[in-house]
Formats: sequence, C-alpha cells, structure tokens
Amino acid sequence: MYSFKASTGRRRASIAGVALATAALLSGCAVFQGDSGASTDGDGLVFWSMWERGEPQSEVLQGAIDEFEEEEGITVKVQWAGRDVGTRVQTATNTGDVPDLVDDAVEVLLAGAEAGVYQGLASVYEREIPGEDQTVADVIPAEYVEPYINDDGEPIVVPHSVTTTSIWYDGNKLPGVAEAPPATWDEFLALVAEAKAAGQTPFAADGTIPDYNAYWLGQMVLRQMGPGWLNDAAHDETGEAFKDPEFLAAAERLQQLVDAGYFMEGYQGSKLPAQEQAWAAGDADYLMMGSWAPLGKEEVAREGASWRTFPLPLADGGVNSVEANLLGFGIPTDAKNSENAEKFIAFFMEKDRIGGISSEANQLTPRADVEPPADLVDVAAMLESAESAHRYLDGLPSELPDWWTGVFLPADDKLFFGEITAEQFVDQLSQESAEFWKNNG
Amino acid sequence: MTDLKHSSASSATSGAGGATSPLDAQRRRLRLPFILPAVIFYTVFFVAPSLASFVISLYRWRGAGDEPEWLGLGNFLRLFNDDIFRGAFVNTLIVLLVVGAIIFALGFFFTAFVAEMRGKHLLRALIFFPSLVNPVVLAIAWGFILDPTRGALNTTLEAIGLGNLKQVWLGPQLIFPMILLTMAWMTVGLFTVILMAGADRIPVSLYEDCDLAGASIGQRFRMVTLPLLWEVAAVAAVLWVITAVKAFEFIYAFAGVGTAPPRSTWTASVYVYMQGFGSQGLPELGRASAMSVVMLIVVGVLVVVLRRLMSRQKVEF
Repeated sequence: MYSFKASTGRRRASIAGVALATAALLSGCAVFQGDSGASTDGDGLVFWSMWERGEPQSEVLQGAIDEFEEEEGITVKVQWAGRDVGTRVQTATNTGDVPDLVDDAVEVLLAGAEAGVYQGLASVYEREIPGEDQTVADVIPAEYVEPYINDDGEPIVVPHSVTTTSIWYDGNKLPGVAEAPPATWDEFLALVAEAKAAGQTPFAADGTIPDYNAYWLGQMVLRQMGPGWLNDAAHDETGEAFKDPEFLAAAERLQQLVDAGYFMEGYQGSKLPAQEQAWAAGDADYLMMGSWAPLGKEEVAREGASWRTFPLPLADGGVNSVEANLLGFGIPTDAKNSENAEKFIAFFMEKDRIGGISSEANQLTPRADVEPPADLVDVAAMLESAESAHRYLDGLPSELPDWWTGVFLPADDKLFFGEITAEQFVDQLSQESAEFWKNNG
Repeated sequence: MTDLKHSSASSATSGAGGATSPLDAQRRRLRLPFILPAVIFYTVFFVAPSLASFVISLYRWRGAGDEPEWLGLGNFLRLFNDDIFRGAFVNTLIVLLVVGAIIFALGFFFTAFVAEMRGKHLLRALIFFPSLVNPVVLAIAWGFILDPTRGALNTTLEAIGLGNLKQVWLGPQLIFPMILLTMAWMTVGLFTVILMAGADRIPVSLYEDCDLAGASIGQRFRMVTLPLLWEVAAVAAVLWVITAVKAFEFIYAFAGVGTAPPRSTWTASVYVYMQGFGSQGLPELGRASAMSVVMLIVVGVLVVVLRRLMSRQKVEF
C-alpha cells in the first residue's frame, strides 16, 4: 500500500508539475492578452448592436443595412448582441478582434472611450448625409453631445435616439393637468395634495429598483442646481459638498412627498412592473420614469389612456435643465473599417431612415425635423424649451459605479422609503463619501 | 473493508520479493494515457483560470485593452477597509449559517419522519422538485408572489380576511430574510434527497432490533440513523458550504431586474459580479479577482474546518 503511494506520489508530483507549468504558461501568455483574432473583411463592415433580433429598433436598423448594402456595395455583418454589447466590445478589445461599428447607451460608450476603446467622431460630424444638402453636425443639436467628448474634444457618439426622465400621467384621466401642467413646485404640491384629499394615490414607484428611486432626487437636484452639480459633489473627497443648503432643500422636498404618504402603499418593496402597471391602469396619478414609460402598456392601460408628461416642476431659482440620455453609434479605436462605419452612420442619419426610430420604434430621435411619436410630443417640447441638458443621473452610474451603488443608492433608498430625514440623508452621504474616497482616492 | 481490499490487492500484485507481474506493468503503463486527458482538461479549464485570477488580482486591470497596473497586494488590502465587501461577506456567512441550519434541520426531520411514511417516494419527489427548476425562474416567480401591491401572498391574505398580516415583503427590512427563506425552500429538497439516500443504505435489521427493544422514532433516529448517516451528512455539509458561498443567480434575479439589486442584499458573489461585469461603467477585474481569491481561500478553510469537526470514527455496517 505504501509502496503504491510512493510510486504514484512521484508521478503525481510530475503531473502536478506539468499542470502548474501549463497553467503558468497559459496565465503568463493569456491573462492580459488574447489571441489577436481574426480580422474583419477588408472592405466590409462588422456591426454589433445593443438590440436583439425582433426588437423594433433592430428592424429599423436592418432595413437601413439592406439599403446600405445595395446602394454602397458594402457587405454588413451584423450581430444583434443585446444590452451587454458594451462588455463584449470591451472584452474583444483585448484580442484586437473588434467590430467596426457599435450602437449602445451613450454612458457605456463614454466609459469605454475613457479607457481608449472608442475613437473620436469629429470626422463623422463633418460628413454630408447622402441625399441631403447638410452634414451630420447640422442635424444633431450640439448641446446633446457636449457632455460626451473625449480628451481631444471630439464627440464619441452619434445619437440615433434620445430619452429623458419626467413625470408621466394619463391626460385622459387628468384633463385639467393636460391643459395646464404645473409649472412651479408649489403648484405641483397643491395638485398632489388635492388628489390625495380626493382619495387618489398621487405616485406609483417600483421601489426595488434603486436607480429608479434615484430619478426623484436626481431630477430635484439637477433641474434645480444645474448639470454636473451631483457629479462634482460626488468627486469631492471631503464629502462636504453635500452640505450645500440647496442640496438639503432638494432632499427636503423629496421627504415632504414621502412623509405626506403620496406614494402608493407598498412601494418600498414593489417589484417592477407591479406599480408601473397599476399606474397605467389608473390606480395612481403620476409616475417618474424615462421616455419608455408608455411602451408596452396597451394591455394594462386604463381605457382611453393618453400618455402625457411634464418635467419635475422647479422651486425658486431652478435652471430648467432636462436630462438628455442618448443611444447611438460609436466606432472602436481598433476598428479595421472605420471609413465604412462612418459612411453607414451618415447614411442612417438621413431623415426618413432615422425617422424609423420614431415611426416604428416609438422613440424620439435627435433630429428636430423628424416628427416625434404621438406619446412623446411632450418630451420633444420639453427638450426644445430646456435651458440646458444633463446626463442620465449626471453620469454617475457609469463614471463612479462603486460610489453610486455603494454610497449614494443605499442612502437615497433610505430617504425615499422614509427611513431617514433629509438632514440624516445629507449627513450619511457626506460621511460615507469621505470614507469612500479615503479608500479609493 | 476498503483498506482490507487494498492491502490484499497490493500484496497479491507485489508478490514475494516485490516482483511485479506483466499484467501489473501493463496496467501501470496505461495509467498515464488514461488520466492525461482529464489532467489536461482540468488544468486548462480549472487550474489555469484560477491561477489567472490570482495573477489578475495583483493588478489594476479593466479588461478593455488597457495596460495592467501592478498593485501587488493592494487589491487585497483595500478589501479590509471596504464596508461593502464586509457587508457582502457577512451576508454570505448569514446565507451559509441560517439557510444551512434550516435545510439540515428540515433534511434530518424529513429523513427521520417522512422516511417512515407511506408515499414517501412521492413526497421525496415533491420536496426535490424546486431543485430541478432554474433558480432564476424561481426567483422571478417568488418576486411576483411576494410583491406587496399585486403579489399572490398579500392578495390571498386580504381575501381570507387576514389583511392585517400583510407586509411589504420585498421592502428594505424583509427582503433579505425573504431571500434566505426562499433559498432554503429551493435547496432543502436536494439535501434531503442526499440524506435520505444515505438513510436507505442502513440495514433494516438494525431498525427491527429497535422495534424489538421498543425504541421511539426519535430514539431510532438518534441511536441508529444519525450515527450511520454521519459520513453522508459531512459530505452534504461540505457541498452546502460550496453552494452557499457561490450563491449568486438566485439573489441577483430575486432582488434586481436589469439593475443592481439593493446593496443590503449583496453577497460576496454578487459583489464580485458587480465589480467585474455588473456596473454600467468599466469593470474592475483586479478587484473582482481579489475578492474571488479571498472567497476561494474562505471556502478552503471552511471545508477543512468542517471536515475536522465532523470527523468521527467510521462506523462499518
């Protein structure tokens, strides 16, 4: 028995040695660099999209791809990669086998651009749109892309869709509001107090989604204090920036809504889409949500529902900033056919082609001359009249993800659920931010 | 028994003076070709990635074509000051201990009492059923049952006149306890089946002896079933430790929909995912790998400690 063990022991040791050597070889060679991978077609175009096959946007894009192949003679290989396309592109960057064109949420593109994954697109903006006597820059409002530039000052995205966050309601159920939406915080408060007194539930919220909960305070702060305020405060390593009295006042306004019991019963533990559907069915008056709020509500909506929206009303001294969250095209730095990618973007920007995003996918496009979908007429007007535009949640979920999920969201949830007061919220945020930077600075 | 077999085989093959038979020599020559494919497969797909994780944990690396920055043990030191990691680690231990206590208590209960019942096979199948379903599907289903607005639980309580028992089941206070309970419900079947299979091997004659001696069900369990089941229970406990520390998909699907679940529900595995792939920003693969290495060490230590604590003189039957 022992001799058996001894002889296998030596063999085991040699096998373990081979295993370790192989592992070391593999880890040494391939931990940080993959194989350089296959190159793309010399004169084709490889496109990875954030949409999945069958989604309306994929159909609009596929239509444009078919036309592009026919008119330009360029073969397009498209992969409907879905929402994690950004991760796939980042991973592919290690191998050099990247697509030539990507469409994704702008915040993901920007985070990638900061790591060198995506290139600047100034040259795309100078391109003429086929069939139109104007360039891409002429049809995309500059203020939309201003926050999304790289170190060389070039935009890293050409948007094809714009969403925003605002307060949604059924204009058919609340005709008075549809006629004259509240313009100030006081008017808004009076409106919801009246609804509550009449036995209505003013707000629905699916509280198990912390990002959605943060829409409330995010809008209160950014529309009031201006684009970039929250982002700057988050980067303050002392945490003292959060002690600004205006920030406290914004938190107090949220506390006021919570304390008054304006949110639907059980919202703290509501699982998406329970309360969103309850709102669509008419059980609550208002929903703070992105421009996708009306989508997919046909079967649960109150009969005759007509979706309308207004921006969160401002208290004194607000700056009327509106969120402009973009979905659009990016070109990887290592793309082998950037030229073809640029051609496709300019091709897609043609009014009727990008118009499919509005007419088929019911989303707003950045082109002001494309007619908005019926449900988003208010959103188009809101963006048109805004004094400035801010990033989705001021860019924090993508720029400082650890701070956002680890520091901000837990404190915001407590405030939003009525577990702490506005003062306690400010103290917690300030203190935990300082601690965060001590460990991450 | 096994030892006896080994020693007799060994003496038979060794023969007088240690000479080996031609058959034995042939066998030895064949060993390497037989085990080599498995060793290569295991090395390439398990050992190498584990070593790679350790290498990555020594760097700051975003995995997006960027140059890795050497940090040495920086990622590990940072974990000691990271409140979120501490919270996630404590949650992992709570899953391990609380859910573990529930599933083993129920597992032994079913083994002791259900095993005696008629229709035990049907019952065993019913208890086992949740283990067959994808945890993500179960998590989503439980989400809809426990939703406070339209969920089946609150709606039923209201309908049967127990509206005062309604709770915000997925609210900040109850969401983690609900995760623990539903995880226990989902996992108890698998471990019960393992324990019952162990109990099935116990000779019936021992129970007949108990009957003759007039032992109660509890005494039979304590005197016969438990001691003879101990080895199986020890293996099941090790399996549970590994399962609990890796618990991810159920919690992620239970608490989040497309976005990060609330921080209060994070276990170490969820935090690893958030750092590595789950955020909207760039990944921090170095930190995620450091956490994985720490958790691997924790599993290793727990398994060794558990094996020592549960080691008993082997009862042969």
